[in-house]
Amino acid sequence: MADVITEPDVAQEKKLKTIQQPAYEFNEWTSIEKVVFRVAFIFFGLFAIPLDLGFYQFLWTIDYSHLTYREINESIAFYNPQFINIFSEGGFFGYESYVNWPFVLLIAIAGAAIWTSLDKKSRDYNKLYYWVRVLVTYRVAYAAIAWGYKKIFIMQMPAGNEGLYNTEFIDFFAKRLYWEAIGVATKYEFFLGFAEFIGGFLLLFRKTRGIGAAITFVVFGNIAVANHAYDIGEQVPSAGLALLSLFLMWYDLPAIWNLIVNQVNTRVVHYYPVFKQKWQNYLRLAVKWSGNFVYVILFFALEVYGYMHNDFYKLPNTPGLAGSKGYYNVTEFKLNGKVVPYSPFDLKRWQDAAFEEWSSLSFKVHNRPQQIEMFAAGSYPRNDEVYDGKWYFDWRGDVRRFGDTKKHKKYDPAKRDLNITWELSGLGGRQYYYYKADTVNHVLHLINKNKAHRDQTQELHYSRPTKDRVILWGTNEFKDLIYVVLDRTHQQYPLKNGRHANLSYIP
Amino acid sequence: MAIADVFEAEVSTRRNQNITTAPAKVWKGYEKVAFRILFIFFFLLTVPVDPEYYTQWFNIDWTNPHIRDLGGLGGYGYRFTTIKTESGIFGLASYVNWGIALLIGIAGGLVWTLIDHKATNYRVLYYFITVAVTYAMITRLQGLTFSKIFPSQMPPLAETQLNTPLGDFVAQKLYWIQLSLVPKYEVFLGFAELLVMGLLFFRGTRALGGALAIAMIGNIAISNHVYDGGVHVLASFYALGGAFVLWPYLRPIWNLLVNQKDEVLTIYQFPFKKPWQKAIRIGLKGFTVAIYFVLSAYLHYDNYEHDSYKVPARSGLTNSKGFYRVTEFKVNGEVIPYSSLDSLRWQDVTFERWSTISYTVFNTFNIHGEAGRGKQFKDVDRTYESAGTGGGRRHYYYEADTVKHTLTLFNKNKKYVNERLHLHYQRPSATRFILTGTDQYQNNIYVVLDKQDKKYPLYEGRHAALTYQP
Repeated sequence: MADVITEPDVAQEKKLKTIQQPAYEFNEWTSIEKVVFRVAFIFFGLFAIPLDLGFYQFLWTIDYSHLTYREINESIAFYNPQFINIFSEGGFFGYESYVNWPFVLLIAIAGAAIWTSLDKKSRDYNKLYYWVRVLVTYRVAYAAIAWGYKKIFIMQMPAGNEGLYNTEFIDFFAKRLYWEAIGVATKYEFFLGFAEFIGGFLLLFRKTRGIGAAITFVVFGNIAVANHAYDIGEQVPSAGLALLSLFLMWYDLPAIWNLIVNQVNTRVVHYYPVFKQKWQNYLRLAVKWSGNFVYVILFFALEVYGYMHNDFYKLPNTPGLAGSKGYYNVTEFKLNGKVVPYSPFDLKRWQDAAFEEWSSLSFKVHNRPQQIEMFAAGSYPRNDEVYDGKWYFDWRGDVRRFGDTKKHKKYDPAKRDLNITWELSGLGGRQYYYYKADTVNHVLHLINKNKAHRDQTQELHYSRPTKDRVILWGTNEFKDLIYVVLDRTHQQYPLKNGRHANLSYIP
Repeated sequence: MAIADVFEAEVSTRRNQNITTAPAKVWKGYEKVAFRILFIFFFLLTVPVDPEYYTQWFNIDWTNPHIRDLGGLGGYGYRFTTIKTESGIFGLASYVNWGIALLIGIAGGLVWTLIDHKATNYRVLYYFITVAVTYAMITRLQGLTFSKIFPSQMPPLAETQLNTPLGDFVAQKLYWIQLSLVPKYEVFLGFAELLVMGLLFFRGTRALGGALAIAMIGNIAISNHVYDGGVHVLASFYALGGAFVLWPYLRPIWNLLVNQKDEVLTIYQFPFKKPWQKAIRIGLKGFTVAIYFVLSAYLHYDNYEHDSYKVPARSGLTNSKGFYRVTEFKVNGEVIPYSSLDSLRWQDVTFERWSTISYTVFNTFNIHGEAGRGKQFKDVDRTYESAGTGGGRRHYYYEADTVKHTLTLFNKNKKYVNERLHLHYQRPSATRFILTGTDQYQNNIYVVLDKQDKKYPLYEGRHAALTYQP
């Protein structure tokens, strides 16, 4: 074969970095190696490129004039072959959620069989092996950087809010608790994000690719296991990235094993194609750097922009009533003019209330059924999806993520905060309302944030006789007249006080 | 794949090179000085010099060993001092013993340098200090490993924890109990730690064990710092030890992967040629397997099955487990209505499978710290369920007299250790308790409790699209 690297070759080709090794003959591959490679090539090749038509629809519908970090993130963090969804517990959380993998393998085997019957001549596949490794490398690298940015900029696990701190443990999904456990320690979240980022970043360079792959394998492997443990539901994309990382490590593994365990003289020789034409090399560099520009540099800039402009995708950013943030006791509650005493069993009397930094009000009432909202599209069944154990096929691929093309049509800042339902995602217990404050007439227009109960609205006048007291009156979600006196408790959260809470806790 | 081929060929031709007979290298001056310092440092950190360590081997009742005995047998570095400030508990000052060991190492290393002019290298000592570090890692890790494989380090959530608002846990506690809700993940982490132990046990895979220890237990060390988990010094030891073990491999791995050079390891392994040397080596290895793998696994299994060490051993009142609303509450004959601002009136109560009661009042008390670590003997001291929990929830261990129907409650919070409640109980129905008696302030109280069934999203979340019903 022509593409054997010799020293003169390398010396001639100045655009490539010098490869510091002696002239080296690559052996001819055995026929088993060739067959296995053909299967692996198709399998990992298919895995690394977006196959879902929904993904391309998504790209088409992006509002590029208002490009944010969200779209860049969504275009790289998730896609993986997912044409079949099984609606069952196992289909969302268990082994059945991997149902698409054996089909990809099947396609790879069939493709390899045809390929084997056609290709009798090839001596080796060093060139193709190189290219499929490149494809997989960038797939993993950009995804790792995307996930890393999410945590580095404290987007994925935001710190908790007043309502959240006053929600009991049993009312959380395990998934949400996992998020909160990380969200409470933002430094740690940053560290985890950095671990993802650095793995991906090292993959971008030929020399450090092996080390990068080892890091992304460990990180994504652990994330996949945690996904299973905490019913997070994103196990398939994470395990997919771990699998791709393992494929990248594969090249170096025998050498590492020989070096460390067998302790024999070892080396790794990488095959790099030699570009004979100048334009080939320019094309390579152009593709590489436009990818790096979008997924590393522009992405970073947009994240910084979002961070600086209080645009955290899980947090509302309309400011709440000035100075109202806090947890309140309901000192007095009148329903249609009649005083209702404090009771944990009353269906309409608020037990407490919480104002957030942004325009959200939450309260607790007894025995109010509520559809728990989900976060992350791939995981958990939605309201209209029942566990029937059936297989659902969609040509758009991951239809639960990319199916709704309207989602990305138009950027509407007015609806931003109403539609950010992070506060009530994956947990029950409290009623969350978005409010629009008319600070001239002192009226709050409230809308239930839960998508299943958007018809519930309240209109409440407010007055604030003292700093810590809010009086609300008006019509509630059932058209009852209510009158509510709220008094702020100066709640100290041990969760936030941390180590000092341990030493002396004064409420 | 073609590459693997090449290596196959190389393995056969080069396997005969016996690494142990490689010529003794002449170490550079600074290498010798650095080694002398680090040798003393790691010696102090890993080899027990405290006679107490050795006497405890003979004080254990070997006919009836308990996991409590194993912790000490795992060994510990010399404890010069402890600093009881905030930094001494959570921060930099908690590493004071490492600092002292390093200072002694530097002093000793300098003296050693002045005396010893002849030595060209310390490869034999290097070999043995590496062995000391690896075995210290193995023997100290076993307790953590097997208490996760048989999930008892983070036992299942108690009713009280389930009914506590998120904000009332200190971060340390949240960090611990987030594993309590997923015992399978705890088991997985246990097996990962077992893998570290197993890899460290063999010469060939020692470097892999060191690398895994850095990645995994190093991460645990960092999270212990951010969450004030409290075992950061212990966890950091594995990362430090892992780094020490991995150190000689780093440059060859870097050269191999990054510089893509021809590489061979030149790590000296003590040959153990004489029969008595072989006997000692095999004997010590066998001893390690017997005590720190087999016995430890068995004792942790036994503990998990019969007396999970963080959960009180005494069982609670039959069928009492659950969450109760306080329907009626009288103090000295006077009814107190439901209120979230009252510090006497209970708001809700939990009973556990074991003998613990908790109730909520307006939150006016001090949290007792710790994540509920250690292997306490007495039930009242087993505080995993109550430590690090604030809000208004108070926890009591109780002793029940089921003939006379009385309960004596002992406060589990170490800051209120003398509090007692003496109560008489009636159970008119399966879901109702009536308690009468004196509380800790010598008030007469009368309490009616009604069990409330709650749907737990935490456990039912995955079964279907869930409509929450409180």
